Amino acid sequence: MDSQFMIIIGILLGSTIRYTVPILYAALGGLITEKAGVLNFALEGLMLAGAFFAYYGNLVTGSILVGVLCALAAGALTGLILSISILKYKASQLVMGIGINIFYLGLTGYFFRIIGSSGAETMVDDLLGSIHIPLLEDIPLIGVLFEQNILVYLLVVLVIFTARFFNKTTIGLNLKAVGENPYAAAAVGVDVIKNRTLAIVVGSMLAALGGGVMTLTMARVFLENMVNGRGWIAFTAIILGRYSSKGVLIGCLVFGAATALSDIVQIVGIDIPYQAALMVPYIITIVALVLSVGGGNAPAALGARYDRE
Amino acid sequence: MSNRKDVILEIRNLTKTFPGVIANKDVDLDIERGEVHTLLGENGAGKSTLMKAIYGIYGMDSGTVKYNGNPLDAKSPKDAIAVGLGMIHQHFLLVQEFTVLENIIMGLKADKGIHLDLGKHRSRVEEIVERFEIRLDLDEKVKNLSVGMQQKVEIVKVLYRNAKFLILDEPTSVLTPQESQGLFGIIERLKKEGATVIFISHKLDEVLQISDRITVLRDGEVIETVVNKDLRKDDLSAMMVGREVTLDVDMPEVELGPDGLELDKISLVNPGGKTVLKDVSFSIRKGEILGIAGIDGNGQEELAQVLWGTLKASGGSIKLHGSTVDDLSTRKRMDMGMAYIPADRKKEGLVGTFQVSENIVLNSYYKPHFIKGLGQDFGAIREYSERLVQEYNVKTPALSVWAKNLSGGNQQKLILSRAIEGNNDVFIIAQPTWGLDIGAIEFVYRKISELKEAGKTILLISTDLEEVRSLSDRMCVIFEGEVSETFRVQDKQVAEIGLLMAGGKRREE
Repeated sequence: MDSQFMIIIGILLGSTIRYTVPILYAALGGLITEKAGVLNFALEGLMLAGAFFAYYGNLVTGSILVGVLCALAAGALTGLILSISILKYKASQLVMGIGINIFYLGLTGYFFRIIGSSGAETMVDDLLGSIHIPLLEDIPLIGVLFEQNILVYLLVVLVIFTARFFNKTTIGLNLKAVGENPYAAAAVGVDVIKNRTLAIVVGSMLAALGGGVMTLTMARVFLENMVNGRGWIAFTAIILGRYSSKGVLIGCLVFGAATALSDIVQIVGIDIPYQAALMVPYIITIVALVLSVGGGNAPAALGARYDRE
Repeated sequence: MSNRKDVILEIRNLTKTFPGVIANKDVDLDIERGEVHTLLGENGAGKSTLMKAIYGIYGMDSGTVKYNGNPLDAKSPKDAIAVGLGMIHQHFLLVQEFTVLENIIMGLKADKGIHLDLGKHRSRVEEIVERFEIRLDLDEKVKNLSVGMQQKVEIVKVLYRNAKFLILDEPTSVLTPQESQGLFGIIERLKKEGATVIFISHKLDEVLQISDRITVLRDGEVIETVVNKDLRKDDLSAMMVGREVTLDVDMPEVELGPDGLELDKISLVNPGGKTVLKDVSFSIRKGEILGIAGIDGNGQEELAQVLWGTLKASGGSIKLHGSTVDDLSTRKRMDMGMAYIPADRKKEGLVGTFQVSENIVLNSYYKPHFIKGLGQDFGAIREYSERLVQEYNVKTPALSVWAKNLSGGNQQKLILSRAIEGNNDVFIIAQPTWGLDIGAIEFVYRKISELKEAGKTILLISTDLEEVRSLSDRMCVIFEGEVSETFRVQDKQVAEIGLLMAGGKRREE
């Protein structure tokens, strides 16, 4: 009994991390963008783009690093397009975001069909290996946390770095000022357009990497619409996390754990329909959104268009 | 250049145009080191534009600027700040969610790297605050500060950037009389420390109080620079407008009738659960003007809307001509003779993309004389509009022009015309002269006095205390949704009223 329980806990922890990592990358990227005052509705599309191009880059070259770089490049390029259209041509942030999502849903599906969609030859050769941290990995129950791949450890560093960036650096303070009141920031010489462009591009790269993690470390293949709403969950996690890195981390862990739990429910064979179990993360999303209305902590200028005087 | 005087800022032939408008034309101006120099002019005279051009917000079309003898061609505020200029804008540019300290230091580079050394900044800011005797809690969030305090944050912000030359753009427009005096104290202090101050204003009293020299601008040009000695207000306003004007209205003595409008314990809770109006009670008789003074955002707008029927009161009762109207729609109240001149004429007063004539009948298009068959009688509407435009001197190229293309003064005349011509007898008038030039203000005041003479019931809501005092018979002060006792205008000093506007107690030194 005890050992069975331990195994279940181990599985639960492991899959919580697996489910959390992609959305946390995307949510962190979204957070950086939104702190600068730009809504990031494109997380879903960015993840999908990252997932596909990481997979394709890896498929062609056999190199995981190239896969990662492809995802980052796709994110950067998309971020640049978003920046130019939103900041220079004053396109609606909502419409551009949704547009990107629809665009990548179609594009990745189409490309995937072109390169041939079946068989082992279209699978990523090797999954990214785990890095085992000596001693720590032997701790019962939570040892599983210390045998993760490099992208997971990188994410931990990123979360800590982002938190410090916003609270302990001058450029972080300026970026927040741009999101709260761009006119006030501009009046003290902060370049609003430059800050927002950087935030959008970096944020988009992280979101795309979140998608890349799915193909490079979890699925080994690309499937049409494989992101399947995770971008929107990341979007929600930002709101749920009240626009702080720590909050976003917790928010994503909640979603990750809920998804993992719905797996366990099926494995262990608790007698509820598996569809019901699958609904759990989405129900949490809805409840979180309803509860967060009116509260928020959102940057004051979030979503508002900036016109230079 | 004759350099007997120590000129710190020298402007020559500065011209700045916006599409279709000349904002500044061939402006020459010398500012001397250590003086308080006022730029005086009406709205649109080009005083703010001139300063924003120098400060790098707009840039200029032609002309030269020298600061401390060196050419200054600021491409962005950054350049101006770098040489020691600091501008405090009419609308504060602060981050509400940040603390005072964060607001002061934002935008600055770290001494080295990117590390934000709050402790070091704090001690430096404290030094400045002490030197200039400005009391500020550095850890308070700006959103919790009064407007007067926020202004101090702005001042410290520019001082922290080593500004030696401060430009204050209409700094008193949002302050209570006490807060204004506090600001003048700081300006005196700045002067003592050797700073030069440009003060932009159109309020003659304060200009005379604080300035060393005054430059009057009109239509983008410098009219004259005068030393502030033995000047009278009338001289200045004549220079501003280009002709003799007087805003000292002689209100007619009117036999007061019965109550036209009565409020009994009106209260309002907004959707967020916050009490916006609390037990507001007063009554106004026919032929009487009751003024409500107070700083913007203390419930004035909501009070007007509750009276007008666009917001429903949470409690209390309103009587029009003695009969209760609480459950009546706005249309019904209009039919009972109520008229409303809203504070925000663009948002509530006009449909910007409707023609002038359509806006003129916005409150009466449904009346029988504008109806023909199932549609409108456009002939009658045109005739009526033509008459009003002429009688109220609304300057418009044609009746078919969009209302948003009229100047503020002409928009207000349009709104006044339709309210007055509608044969109404209870008027709710909010901020009637906001953003108008003196000529238009004169017109509005005359119309209000005519309404009083005709025995109308008038509620005047304004954040301009002088306006309330000069027009009203009785007045009261609104603060955080509560109104004070009403009193006769001559019964209280400005200082006393100022205290009421700040909530009765002195919140600041």
